[in-house]
Amino acid sequence: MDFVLRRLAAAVPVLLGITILSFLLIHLMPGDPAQIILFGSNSTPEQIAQLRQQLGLNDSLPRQYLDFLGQLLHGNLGTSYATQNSVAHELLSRTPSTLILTFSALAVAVIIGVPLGLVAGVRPNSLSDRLCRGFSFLGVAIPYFFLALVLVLFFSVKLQWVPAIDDGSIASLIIPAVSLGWGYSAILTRLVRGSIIQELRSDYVKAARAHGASEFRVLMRHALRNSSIPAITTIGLQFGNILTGAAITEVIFGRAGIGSFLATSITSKNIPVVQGAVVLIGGGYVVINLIIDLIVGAVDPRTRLATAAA
Amino acid sequence: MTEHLNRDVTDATPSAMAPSTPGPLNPVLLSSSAARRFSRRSMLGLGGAVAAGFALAACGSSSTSGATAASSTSGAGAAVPSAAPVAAAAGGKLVMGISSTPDTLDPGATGLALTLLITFALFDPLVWWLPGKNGAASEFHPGLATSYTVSADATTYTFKLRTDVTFHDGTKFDAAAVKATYDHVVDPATKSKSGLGALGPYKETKIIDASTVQIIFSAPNAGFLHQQAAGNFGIISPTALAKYGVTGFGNHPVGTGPFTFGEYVAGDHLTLKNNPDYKWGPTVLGTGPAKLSELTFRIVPDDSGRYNALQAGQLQIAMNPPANDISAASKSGKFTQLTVPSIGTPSGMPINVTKFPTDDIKVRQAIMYAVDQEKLTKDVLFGVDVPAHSVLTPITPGYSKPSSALYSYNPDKANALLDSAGWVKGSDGVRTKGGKKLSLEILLFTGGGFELPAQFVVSELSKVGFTSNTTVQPLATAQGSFNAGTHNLGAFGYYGADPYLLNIWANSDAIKSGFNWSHYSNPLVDAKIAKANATAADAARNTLYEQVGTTLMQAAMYLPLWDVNGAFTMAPSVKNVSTTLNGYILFHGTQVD
Repeated sequence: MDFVLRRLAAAVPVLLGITILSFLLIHLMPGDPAQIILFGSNSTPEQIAQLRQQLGLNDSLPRQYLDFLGQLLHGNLGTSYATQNSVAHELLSRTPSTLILTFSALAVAVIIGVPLGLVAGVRPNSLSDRLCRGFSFLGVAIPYFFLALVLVLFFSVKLQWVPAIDDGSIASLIIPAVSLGWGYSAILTRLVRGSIIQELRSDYVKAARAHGASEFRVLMRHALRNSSIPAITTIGLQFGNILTGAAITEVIFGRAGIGSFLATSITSKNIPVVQGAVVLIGGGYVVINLIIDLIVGAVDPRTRLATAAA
Repeated sequence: MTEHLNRDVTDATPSAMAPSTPGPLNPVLLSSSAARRFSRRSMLGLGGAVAAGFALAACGSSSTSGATAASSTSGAGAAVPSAAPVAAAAGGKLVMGISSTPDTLDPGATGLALTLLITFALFDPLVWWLPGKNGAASEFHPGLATSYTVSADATTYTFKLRTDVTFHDGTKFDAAAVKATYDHVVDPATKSKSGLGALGPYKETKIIDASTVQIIFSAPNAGFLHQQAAGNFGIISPTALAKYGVTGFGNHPVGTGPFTFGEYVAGDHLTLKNNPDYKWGPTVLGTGPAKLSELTFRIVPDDSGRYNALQAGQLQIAMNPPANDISAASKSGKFTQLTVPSIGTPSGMPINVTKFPTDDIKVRQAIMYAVDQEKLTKDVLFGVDVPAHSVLTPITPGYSKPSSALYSYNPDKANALLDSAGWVKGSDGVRTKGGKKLSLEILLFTGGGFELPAQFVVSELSKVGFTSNTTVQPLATAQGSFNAGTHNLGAFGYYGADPYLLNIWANSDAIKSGFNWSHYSNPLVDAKIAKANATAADAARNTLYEQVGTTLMQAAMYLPLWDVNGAFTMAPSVKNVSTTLNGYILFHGTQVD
């Protein structure tokens, strides 16, 4: 319990840092927000000045930040410049799509990466090891957006097996999830392989074998369980990366998630949306890391003690 | 005006569009005096001055305000068609891929040209203004108004309204709806963008009786008839406006159009349903209800993604796929390409007349001679777009042919002009004068589509001795830079239904905060634009604008490059797509086999 509280407390400054960074976005990006909002409406300088006043852009920075934070605590992320709708609402309506894509990609990564790592790690430097490593190397070497295009051209355009863009069906999720997940599967493969090799050489495995445990039991019950800790941590860390990758994947496949929303909002300088998305993604990242730490703590009590001692 | 329409456009025009086909409108009215009244020439003859402003922000369909969506909504409280009529069901369903999310579905509030593509299916204007058939001049056609008159000073437009029209929510269309629509545009709460600019010096809408309405301006506004047809003033249901509120209406659009609002999933797709009661469309677009039972706009920001989805059979129309895909598509023969020239200014580069070295007219004229628009459109734009040679596109009223003949590609002339201006070519091919290089600052804005064309221009200019430095800024930043005049060459392109748009980029008032990115100041041009706006006679008005165009070209203040087109790559199953004057398409008679 103490560990959980400590871990929660540690997340607070990080979250604050995220809010400061995203708040500063509006001031770091070139261009006057009031002008951006009124662009194309033939507005007078007076109208622009009035809007600046309304938006509170004339207040001091700390004052503006505290206002921003206050609004944030009430779940208010401001209003989209483009649609005049609530940013929080627009982001939340797109969140499920992104989460589905992210978790599907993670699932693909795990489904491909863990078995390959296992096979590779059992017999290091064998042919199967080399094949598995080659496959994983391919995943890292090919950028996922390129992979996505190749898969679309082959499976959607040529064979017409799966849709080329999102149509709400599960089939239309396959190529995005595979292209996004494959690269991360490679990381998992290498990680699991390394840990398996290490674990299989460890004393407790020797002890287990000496007790007459079958090779399969040794592998699954002992080696894999201990290998799963770095794997879980890595999956957690990759979650953020996959979210980033989701942005481009969503654009390519016309998926209405926060990633494509963020991408198009950046090009149109829809700053409140960018701010909101940064808070949401950054916050989500912190929360995921927190959850991963708690899971790892549950799986392996040693990490809990180490944290407590530190 | 339709000289740039390729054959597909003509083919796509359904036979039912022949004006002789009896429509739901009173044929007596149409065939006699009203028919005459609805021709464009007589129309403009009634006009006076314009203060219409511009439509839709620079740079075509790439949006400035762009990318976000309204929340997920459905239904609109609209009367859902109980049963699609047989004719409608026969037309099938059409899915079209578009590049960005509409900012709102309220035509009066939008700042995004793309939105009008959708709202044209939901709303009808009082009077339609459409391309003529087979290369004929653009024409006015009755819409929700059967006839109209314009006061001699072009401040008062009196419309006689149809009495048999019902909104999708069951509200009866009448003068009050017209008043509600125009008052809504000027309501500050609407935060109207292009609509407000296009409306000009609006004073009020006066209800004479249920079927007669007057739109009154505080100053002459001859361009209003063009503007009212350009899409921003689709008539909206006052009931729905009251129900959903000024800002909520954009998520619950209710009009009188051939399609009703169905479902909108933010950032993903928008589905419209057939309106079986529709019978008030212009005959030229086909009579009776639309044939499609369903029309879906799917938002696919990735240009190649739209083309891939078209190939995969998920889309029947892909809007503006990448030029190389269009080229591949037409070579494959599997798809039909529809290219719709647009109204307003061509895409081109404003030349700053106040910054060295483009403050010298000889340098500017050398630039005009040095760039080969034909080669640009062929090689860089894959033949999708049309070369441009003037400050207005050919379908825009007031387009001047003489100005387009001023410069044709002639590098020898460019070299001679630079020689005579004292610029000496060095061993590295770059000209110098008094120790200064003939160097140009080229400023582009993100998403304007100018990156490749600008590279072509740079290469063309280097052949005659220029050296150039290109920078790209986000649009809002670039606008500040353009107004500050840090550039020699910029990037520009504008949709505008009326030549009065010249006022926003050639008028000296627009230098500091407007779109006069050439920093061009000529009191004679200012006066002539003002005079044109106050000129009632059609021919005289156009003559004045033609003179302005010629003067601007003589001053070499703008390097026209290509006519911005709407490009639509379509599956062969799609039939009868009609075009609009602002580079879009209409679905009144469309069907999918």
